[in-house]
Amino acid sequence: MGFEDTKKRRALRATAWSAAAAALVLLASPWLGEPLDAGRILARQSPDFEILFELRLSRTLLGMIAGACLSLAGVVFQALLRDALATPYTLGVSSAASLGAVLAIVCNWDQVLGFPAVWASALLFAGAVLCLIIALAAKGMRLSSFTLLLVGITMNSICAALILLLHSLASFTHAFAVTRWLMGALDSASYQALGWLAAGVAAPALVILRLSRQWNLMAFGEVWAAGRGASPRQLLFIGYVSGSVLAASVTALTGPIAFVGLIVPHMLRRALGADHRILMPCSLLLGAAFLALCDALARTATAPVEVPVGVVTALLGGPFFIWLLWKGPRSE
Amino acid sequence: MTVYYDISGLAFRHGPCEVLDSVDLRLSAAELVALAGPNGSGKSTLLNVMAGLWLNYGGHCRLQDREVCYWPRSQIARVVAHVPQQFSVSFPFTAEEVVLTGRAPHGRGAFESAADLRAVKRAMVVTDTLQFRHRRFGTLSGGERQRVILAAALAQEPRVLLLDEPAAFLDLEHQVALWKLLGQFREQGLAVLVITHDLNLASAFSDRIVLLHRGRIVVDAPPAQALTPTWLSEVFHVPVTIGTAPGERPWLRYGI
Repeated sequence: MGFEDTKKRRALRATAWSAAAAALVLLASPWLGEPLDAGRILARQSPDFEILFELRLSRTLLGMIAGACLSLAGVVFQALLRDALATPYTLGVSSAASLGAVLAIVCNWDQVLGFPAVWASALLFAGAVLCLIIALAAKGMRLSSFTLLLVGITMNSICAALILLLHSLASFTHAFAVTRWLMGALDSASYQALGWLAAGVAAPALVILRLSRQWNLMAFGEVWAAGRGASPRQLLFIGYVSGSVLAASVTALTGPIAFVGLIVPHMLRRALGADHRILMPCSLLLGAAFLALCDALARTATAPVEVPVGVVTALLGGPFFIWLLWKGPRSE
Repeated sequence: MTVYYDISGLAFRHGPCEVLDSVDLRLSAAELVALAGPNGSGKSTLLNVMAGLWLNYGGHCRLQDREVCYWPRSQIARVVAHVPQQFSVSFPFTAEEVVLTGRAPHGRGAFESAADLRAVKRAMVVTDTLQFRHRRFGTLSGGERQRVILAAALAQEPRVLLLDEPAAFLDLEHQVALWKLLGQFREQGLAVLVITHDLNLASAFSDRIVLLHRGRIVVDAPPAQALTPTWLSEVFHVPVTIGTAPGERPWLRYGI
């Protein structure tokens, strides 16, 4: 029981285990579902080869990127707001992405700037709201977790109202497509699109992970952080922008997927403690694994009909969450 | 004797509200100073300005001959440890993790160095908190929490401690233990400024009592001179009787 450097070792060990679990899911989940013939795949024969690589693997990768981003955004927003119930959608930018996507669906846009319209429109709307909030901060709005939360809740209400408006004005088929999109679902994506997504989220994710020790300070409040030499407003700003980019980029491609950003950090906090240097890398990796597994279930459980993955995350995660609460707090 | 704080003509406004008005105060090494005054007299504001949390003050607030507003945040945190009145944790951090935050100003790495861990251990030994370092902060009693927070401030290895009502919510035993601990810090050469409402303990343990009233310092003197019935009843609006015995510090009875 010395005062040796256990923190670093614990963080490395937990991250390594999480990475192993994520790698396992990545290797295994494309094989779930309708059996594929390994021999045909090795011989690059149709359709098994395409099903594995073009459809299932790309979909698994999308699920993993989405799960990683949503979990990490959840953790960083929870730290900033000092509230374990914050989600990647709490601070409003993702709702703007949803609004953009719904607008593109209702207006039947096909392409915007050479990209699929739903993605491009979602990202444009999210970017606009992000710029608006940055402009508000530059104009002298006191940037605090409270003002961010207020602006976020307001944004969520405005976007929800506009989405309802568009939904009610849309034709029957479009309204159905909107509802479907708002459920959140993973689909196979081109590797080019996955590459763009990964490139877009890599930088903010790295920024968040690098500042893990600072999020610990912020979790004790802005005054405490300032008294320990940190710059709370700068950290708030960085966390807010990075987390929003993560959540909005994913939302543009998948629609809002509920519960991942809430339950993965919560379970890991119970298991591993609150230190963000352990919590953040593990949330990223196990969030990826969790969502990919949920999606594998979503596409196989009721095959050939698919369930939206958001339904699975909530139905799988919810009861597990209740069970955890039932068991009571982790023993000291 | 090293003078850490040299404050003169300090003024601070919250919008139209003048919270501090021409405050003069000096704080030196190996001093334990109690800051008292009614609610809303500007005690916490003074501490926040001194800690460099609020920079738009008027007048002078110099720390080691340099205006507080010109100190980079990470540097001031290596000299001054400020402990706010409110400290709440909504996540399952352990006591040790709370104390580890005190090392943030001393390193930019993602993890604490061996020197950081030594400082943390020292701080936890001094505050007698080592035995529950792996317990969750939220499960500790009020007195234990206060000691852990003090340990975090000590782990910062500051020269100055600014404490905002550290004895609030503590029972008699823990209040006395806290003041004794502050006395030890003074012996080790720290400059300690502590906000308190308990003038009896302040009288027993502190070197000076500073009385703040409507943003102005009305008294700044050793307990024997600072605690006078006229001043106290004027500032606190309650009748005050001062008791003294030869060779002892004054004690007071109020409200009756």
